[in-house]
Amino acid sequence: MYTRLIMVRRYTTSTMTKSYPSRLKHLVKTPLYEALDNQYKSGKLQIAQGADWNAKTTTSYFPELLTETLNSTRSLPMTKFPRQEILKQVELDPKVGRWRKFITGWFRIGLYLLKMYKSGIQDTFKVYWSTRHVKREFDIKNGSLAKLVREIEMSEVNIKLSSSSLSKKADVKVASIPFSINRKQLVELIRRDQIWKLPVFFSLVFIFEEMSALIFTFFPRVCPYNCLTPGGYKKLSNVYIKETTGINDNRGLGPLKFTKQGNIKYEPPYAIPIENVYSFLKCFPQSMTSGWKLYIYKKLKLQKLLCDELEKIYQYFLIDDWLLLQGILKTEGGTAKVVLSDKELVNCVLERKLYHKDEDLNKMVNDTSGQNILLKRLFLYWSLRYDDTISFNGEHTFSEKWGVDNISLLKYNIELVITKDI
Amino acid sequence: MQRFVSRLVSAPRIPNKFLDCFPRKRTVNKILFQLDTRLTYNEMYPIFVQVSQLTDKDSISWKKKYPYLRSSDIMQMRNVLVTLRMQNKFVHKDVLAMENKLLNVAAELGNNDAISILSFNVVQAQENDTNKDNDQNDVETANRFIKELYDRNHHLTIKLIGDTFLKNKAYKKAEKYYKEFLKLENNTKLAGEVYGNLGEIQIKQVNGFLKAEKSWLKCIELLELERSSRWYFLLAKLYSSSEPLRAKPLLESCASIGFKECFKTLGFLELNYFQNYERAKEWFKLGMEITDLECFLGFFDCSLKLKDIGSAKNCLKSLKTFENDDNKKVIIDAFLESRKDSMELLQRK
Repeated sequence: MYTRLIMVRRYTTSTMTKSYPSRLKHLVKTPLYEALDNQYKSGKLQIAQGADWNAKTTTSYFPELLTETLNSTRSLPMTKFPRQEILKQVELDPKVGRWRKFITGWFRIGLYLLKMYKSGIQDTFKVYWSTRHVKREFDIKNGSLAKLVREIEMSEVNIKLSSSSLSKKADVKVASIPFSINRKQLVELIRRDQIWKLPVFFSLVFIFEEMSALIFTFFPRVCPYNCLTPGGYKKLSNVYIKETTGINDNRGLGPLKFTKQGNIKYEPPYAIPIENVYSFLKCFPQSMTSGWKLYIYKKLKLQKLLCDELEKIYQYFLIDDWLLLQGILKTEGGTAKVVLSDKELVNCVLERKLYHKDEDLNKMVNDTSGQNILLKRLFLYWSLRYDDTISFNGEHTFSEKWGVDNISLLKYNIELVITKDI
Repeated sequence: MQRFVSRLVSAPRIPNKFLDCFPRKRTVNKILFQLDTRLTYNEMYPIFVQVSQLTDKDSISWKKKYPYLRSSDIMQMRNVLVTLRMQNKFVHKDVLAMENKLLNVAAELGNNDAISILSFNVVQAQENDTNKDNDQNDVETANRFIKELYDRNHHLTIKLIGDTFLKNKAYKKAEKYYKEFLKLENNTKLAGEVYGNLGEIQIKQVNGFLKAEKSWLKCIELLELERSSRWYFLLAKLYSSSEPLRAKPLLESCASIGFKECFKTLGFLELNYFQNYERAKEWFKLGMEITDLECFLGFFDCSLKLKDIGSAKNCLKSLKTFENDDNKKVIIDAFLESRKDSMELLQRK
């Protein structure tokens, strides 16, 4: 727990230059971290705010389309609510009399909210509609995530077989591997289930109109994900982190766990106690199974079913991370830029729980130093998991490093590589 | 009564050599039922006896002696022996010789499968240069037979052509013939073997793992476990990282017939993924019996997790016996280095 907290230092603008704790020092020096940092510093990786890349969904992998295929902003909530801007606009509007400026300001805020809800509902429908073909091909609830993980694994094996005679890669390089799904499609497949929140949401908006925002601030789970306001989002993020991280637990890093000695080990889903699995699943932003089902599983002590769900999330993390890293590092050496949406950055940090309770992720992402901190957390997390893997800069496949057969006992000794057998 | 006595007196004596190697009636009947043969045990038995005593010089008119006999029956009799060999995982030289004799008899009776197998044996023997006595004429005749059978769309010949290409690492050609075979026959045991081999070709292709998975699934559906254990294992390997829960029963099936490679994989699966140390220890124990080094390493870890210091110490002692082998010594040293803390703990206790 302590180490995880170190990794996700509390956000204060002045601590940027603080030295990293010794346990994470080696991560900062890893080639993968350096490559990611260079990408960001050289401007090849940019974080854009308020941009809309929802023009189209495409499966092609050309660099100029990378940002389109990486981001799905329409399925994510806003990071900044323009309350001050609206009030300022009303203040400067000569047509609005001084006596009614206050009421008009708040009325316009309410109107803005309604418009946001409208576009949120439309986007939720669009996400659901546009992913229906992809869903037929990739049924993520029934083993498609595992197939995608296998695809990554096999592509790593292929790289390994083709480069077996070569020495260790000095630089971080990403092989051009066509993948059967792009990131936008993947995350939208996960997020498309938000449509089932619409009936309740729509009824509440219809009844309470502008006042519904107040209800959604107190009950953010009722709201579709892309209709959340930053206030509701913060409340939700606090709930997530509070319920998943106990005193001695460390499930914020997905399948990784710090031991008492400070080593990092893989924590398989089938080895976690049922209570912890349940709370983890309940607090996953876009859970693939409804809450009542999870509750029944827990009550009937159907641990296997709960673990299966957890395994799907682990698989999703792996695919998502891999696609993001492929997208970001593909531009290395070239002139192309990758633009990651601020919404996606916040969501990545939230999903992987790389934050602290009471931290306002939306506020952080709208501030340059806060954005740097979020990115660095993500870079550290990626370095921890993917440094020295064959997809980026190492000699070992991901499953050798973290997988079942990773007999991490021999420090990834090549003699015991499972891929030899296939 | 008189007829019975005269039959007993006139019946030829069965040689002890045959009785020693030939399986019991019950076992054979079981296999006959599995193979769904046309002839019964009583009809086959005298033929088995006669074939076992057959020499190269003998020429028997099988059709006259056994009017009910067909060439396919002889092949089925051979299949009985092959199945028995697979099940027992034991090769008896006399039984193997009997298999070959049956093959020759079937070929004499004009069975295409037998002709095909014999032809390929001749061609392969020439390729391997193991049998220099092979006449060039024999090879030419074999080639002619193969060509003729292929022209007639003989199923086994097509499969054997695929096998030959696979052996010579001509994967594209092998795939072509296997697919050709599957167009003709796709729900037999032979097709099961073809699916298995095809999967092995497909896994080597870029993004061919989905096809390979399908092929292997089909293979294990068609073939019995004894003949498809290799593909059970490969399928389990494919699943082991992404879906260990699916890999586990496949590996357990392999373990049930003593597929030695699966003990360590199962052990590590239980140890690292399901964290069921007791079960992992049992798998490693089985692996240790066949002196698999990795099983010793896994067993040591399990013992420590279960705080079974005695077993850990014994395991460590056993590990030292491997140190004569240089390759294994490197692994053992690396292992002991990575378990420094545990070693200190052991020494203290």
